[in-house]
Amino acid sequence: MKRRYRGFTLVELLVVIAIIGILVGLLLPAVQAAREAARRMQCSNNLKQLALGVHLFHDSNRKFPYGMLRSQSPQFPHPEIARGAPNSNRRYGLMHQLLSYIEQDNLWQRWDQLNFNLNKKATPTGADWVGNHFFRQVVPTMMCPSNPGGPLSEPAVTTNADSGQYFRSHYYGSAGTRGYPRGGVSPRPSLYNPFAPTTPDPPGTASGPGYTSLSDGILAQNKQYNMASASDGTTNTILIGERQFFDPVFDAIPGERIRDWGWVWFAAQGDNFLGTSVPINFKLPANFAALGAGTQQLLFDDRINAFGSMHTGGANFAFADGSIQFMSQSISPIVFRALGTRAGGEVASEY
Amino acid sequence: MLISRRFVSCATLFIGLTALAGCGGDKIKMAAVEGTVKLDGKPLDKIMVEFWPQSDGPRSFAETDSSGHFKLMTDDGKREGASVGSHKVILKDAGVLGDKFMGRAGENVDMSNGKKPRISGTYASPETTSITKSVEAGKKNEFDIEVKK
Repeated sequence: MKRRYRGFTLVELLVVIAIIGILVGLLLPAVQAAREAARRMQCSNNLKQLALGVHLFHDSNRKFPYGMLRSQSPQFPHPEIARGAPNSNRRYGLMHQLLSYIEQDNLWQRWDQLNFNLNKKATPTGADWVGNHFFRQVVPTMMCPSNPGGPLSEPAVTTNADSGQYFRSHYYGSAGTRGYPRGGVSPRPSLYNPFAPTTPDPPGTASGPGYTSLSDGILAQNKQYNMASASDGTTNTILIGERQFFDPVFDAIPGERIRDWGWVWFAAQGDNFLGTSVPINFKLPANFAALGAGTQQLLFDDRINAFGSMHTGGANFAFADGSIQFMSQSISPIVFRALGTRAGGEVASEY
Repeated sequence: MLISRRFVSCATLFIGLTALAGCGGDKIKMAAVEGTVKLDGKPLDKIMVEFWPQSDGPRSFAETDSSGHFKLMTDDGKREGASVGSHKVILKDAGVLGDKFMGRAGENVDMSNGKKPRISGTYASPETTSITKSVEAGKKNEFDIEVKK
């Protein structure tokens, strides 16, 4: 009868707190993983919409869209000039052509289809300069929720007077093994394309003699392929994939930032294409600054071509048959490379 | 006495669980790889050497120094060597791209100043390269690679 109210001892309380702590410790990572899984799912849904858009485009036009349409002399002549068009001012990227097929027709209508330069930032005279509404237009379907940073690229880079706050897509077409750089300048061609000097494509095609844009994917500059041209099988040909925007070593290069790549409306190789000759999630190595200039240039070009994502351990891909797959970054680079070509003749092993 | 025993068992449980959470990791085995690249018996500098695994694994790379010697690292720069197994070996002549790294500005510039690549372009693609090497676990792999023009 000494004590009428028996409370908890300090040890008992500590034990309870410890147990709760353990449970929370176990649960919190699971919650974070679930959140990431949800973001990854939303990302794969975005890719599905885009892949369906490509297929609807194919249904209407009997061809896949241009990887990008842009006249670049002499390697990439404008395909419409040969058909009698007065000039080559029509220019746009892959996503622009899909707008009408992903319920963004209103946006498509606002663009000057015949003259790209009218849509471009000409003279910045306040917020309403010509084309501003278009070049900064954000389309949520083209953004992966896991990717860091906002939808717009940051203020101008000092070394590039043309850069502005443009919308940056997270999804890019597959140019096959390599989409960047534009090339056509010796000696890069023979480094990348062993066939270039001996068996060039016919003149006028995007992969003319010695051009590093090999044009072996399902999407190409100034060129449209159809389902039948994917003789590797549409199931074994990558259509669209993501780019990773986290790369401190790249950002440490003076005047360069990985976030400045991907101006979706701009129609340039590095903003439209990625290639499978680089492993998934490739980032510049930590010892980049200590490497020789030539090796740095090769790795830099590799980085611009690299598929990747902020999802753990791999990236989402849309294939030409419309299927979406998450591929691990530890996939053999040889198998991954084969998945980029539309008619490489490789036998795709299991991945 | 009772208190300390309870406390000890509790602490053990906690530590055990935390340790468990840290388990699991990389399953791909790595092995050290070094070697030289030579053309007609002479060492080649500034050659970018890439090892592409034929099964799952990371790409490894290195550039050759003035004595043609290279030492591989994974292309994230985090691990030394290459993954164990068979690799296709890709060689690119980085020396022909000039002495100044140009980054984006190099897009449309002829960086070679008329220099021709010292080795054949067939070494630059996994589909055309004639070199395959097998990296074995638990030892230092040394490869002397002889190339043709």
